[in-house]
Amino acid sequence: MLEAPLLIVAPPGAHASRLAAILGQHRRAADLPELKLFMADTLGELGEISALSDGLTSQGLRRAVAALYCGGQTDAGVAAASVWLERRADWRGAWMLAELARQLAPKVLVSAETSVGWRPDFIDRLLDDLPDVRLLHLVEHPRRWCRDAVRALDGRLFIAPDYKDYAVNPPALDPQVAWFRVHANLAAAGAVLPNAQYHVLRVEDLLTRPEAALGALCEWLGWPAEPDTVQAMQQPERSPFATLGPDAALYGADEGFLVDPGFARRLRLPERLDGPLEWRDDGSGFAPEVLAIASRYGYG
Amino acid sequence: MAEFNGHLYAGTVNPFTGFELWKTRGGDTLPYQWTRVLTHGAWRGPFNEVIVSMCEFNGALIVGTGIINGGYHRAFKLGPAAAEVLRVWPDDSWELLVGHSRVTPDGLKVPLSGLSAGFDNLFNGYVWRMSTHGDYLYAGTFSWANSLPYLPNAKWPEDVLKLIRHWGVEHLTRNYGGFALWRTHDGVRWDCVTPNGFGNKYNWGVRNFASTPHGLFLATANPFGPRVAIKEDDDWKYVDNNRGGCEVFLGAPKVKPADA
Repeated sequence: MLEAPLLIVAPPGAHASRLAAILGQHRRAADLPELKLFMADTLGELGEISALSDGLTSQGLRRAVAALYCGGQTDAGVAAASVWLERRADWRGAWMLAELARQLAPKVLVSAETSVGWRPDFIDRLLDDLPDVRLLHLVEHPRRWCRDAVRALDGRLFIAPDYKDYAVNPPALDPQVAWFRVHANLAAAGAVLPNAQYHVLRVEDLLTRPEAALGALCEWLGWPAEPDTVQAMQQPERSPFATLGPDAALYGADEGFLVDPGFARRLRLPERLDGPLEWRDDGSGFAPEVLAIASRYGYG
Repeated sequence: MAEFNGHLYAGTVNPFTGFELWKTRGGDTLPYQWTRVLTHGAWRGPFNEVIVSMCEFNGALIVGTGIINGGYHRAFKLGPAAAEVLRVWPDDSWELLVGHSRVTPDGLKVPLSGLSAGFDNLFNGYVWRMSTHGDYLYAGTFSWANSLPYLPNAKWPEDVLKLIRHWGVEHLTRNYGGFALWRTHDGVRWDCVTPNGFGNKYNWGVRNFASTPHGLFLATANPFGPRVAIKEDDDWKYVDNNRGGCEVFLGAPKVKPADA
C-alpha cells in the first residue's frame, strides 16, 4: 500500500518549497516542484488557468512530468510533458497526484502547495478527492512574512488584489490580509483532521533548531531520524528541482527558493506583533484577527 | 429594498462615501425608527457605491453591490470596479463572501469564498439580481466586457489599463463578454453556472429570476440590435448580429447539493 502523499501547505513564499526539498532528501521521500493541481476540477481546466498566467502556474507540473515521464527537464522534455498532460485533460488533480505518487513509490511524494489555502473550495477538492493526504501547515511570523512579500512584490507590473487593503483608496499593499486569509482557511481545514494527517510547523523552529524540528517531523511521519539522516536533509539544494528549469518551464517553485535553495542554520531576530506596520504609511498595526491567529501559533 | 427577519431593509446610493444599509421594524407608529446597519459601502467606500440586489438566504440577508452605470460611474469618475457579495446577519454583523479584503472598523474582512470582486472578473460591475431556488442561492451579474470596444478609457485607473493592454480588447470581449451566473448552497462555496451569458456575449446582464415548480427561469438584458458596430483595421463598420435581444432560460427543477 502506498504511503499517502505529503503536501506542505502555506501562503506563497520560499520556505514551503525549501521544506519540500529538505524532506525530499530523506531516503523515504522524493520531492516534486509545486504542482498546483487543485485549483480546478481537471487538468484541462488547469491548463486554461495556466494559459491566463502565460503558463506560469503549470510550470511545476510540467517540470515534474518531464522529469518522470518525458526524458528529463529539458525544453524538449517539457514540450513532451505538455502533450502528455493535454492527452489527460479529463484527469482530476487527485488522479494526477496519485499517478505521480505511484511513479515515485516506494518513496513518498512530497510537494509544496501554496495555492489551495486561498479558497475553501480548493481545500475541499483536495480533501474530497484525496481523503488520506497529509498536510504539513507551515506558518511564519506575520511581520516577517509580510515584509518578504512586500519585497517580492516590489516593482511588479500587476499585484494581485489578494495582497491589498481595499478600505483605502487607492488600495494599499498590505499582505497581512493574505497571511490571515490563507492561514485561517488552512487552520479551519486542519481543525477537523486527525493529528496523523495534519501538523503545524513554524518556519522559525525549522531555521533556528533544524535538528529538533526535523526530528519531530520525522517522528510525526513515522520516518527514521538518525543524526546522519537529519543532517542529510539539511541540503535542499540537492533536489533535482532546486534550480531554475529549462526555458520552457523556468520556475515551478518560489523564485526566492530557486535562486537561493540552500539551507543554513541561522538565527532570526525576534519579531514583534505590536507596533506599526512598516509597509503602511498610516501607522496602523496588525488587525486583531491576525494577532489572534499569530498568538495561536505561539508568536508573541 | 428587502424584507428580512421582521424588518424592512433599504439600501442607498452614495458616490462620495459608498452605500448605506438601513433597517426598520415598521409598526403602527410613525415615523418608523430606522437603524443603520452598514455604512461607507461596507468600508470599501464609493467603489461599493450602491446596493443593487438583496435576497434572504439561510438565515441571513445577502447583499449584492455595484457602481451605477454598470461598474463605471462616468460623471463621478468612479471605477471601473467590480461588485461584491456581502452577508448580513440579524445582529447586524456582516461578512464578505465575494470581494476585496480590507481592514475595517468592523474587523478584518477577507472573502470567505476566496473569490475577489466580480467573482474574479473586473467586468462584473453589478451583482444585479439574486434568487433562491431549491437549496441554492443564485447570483447573476451585469458585465460590461462587451462594451469595452465602445468606451473611452483614457482616465481609467492604471492597473485596469495595464490589464486591458496586456490581454487586448478582442481577447477580453471574446472570453469575458456576457453576464456571469453563480450559485451556492452555503454562501462560501460557489459554482459558476455560466461565465459568458450562456454563450452569448451580448447578454450583458441577468435582469430577472423566477423560481417556479417548473424550474428557475432567468431573463437576460440584451440591448444589442440586429446590427452592431465592429472595428476592423481602425475602421468602424456595421455588421449583422443575430444574437441581440433578450433571452429567457429555464433551468432544471430543484436540485439538492447531494444530487448535483
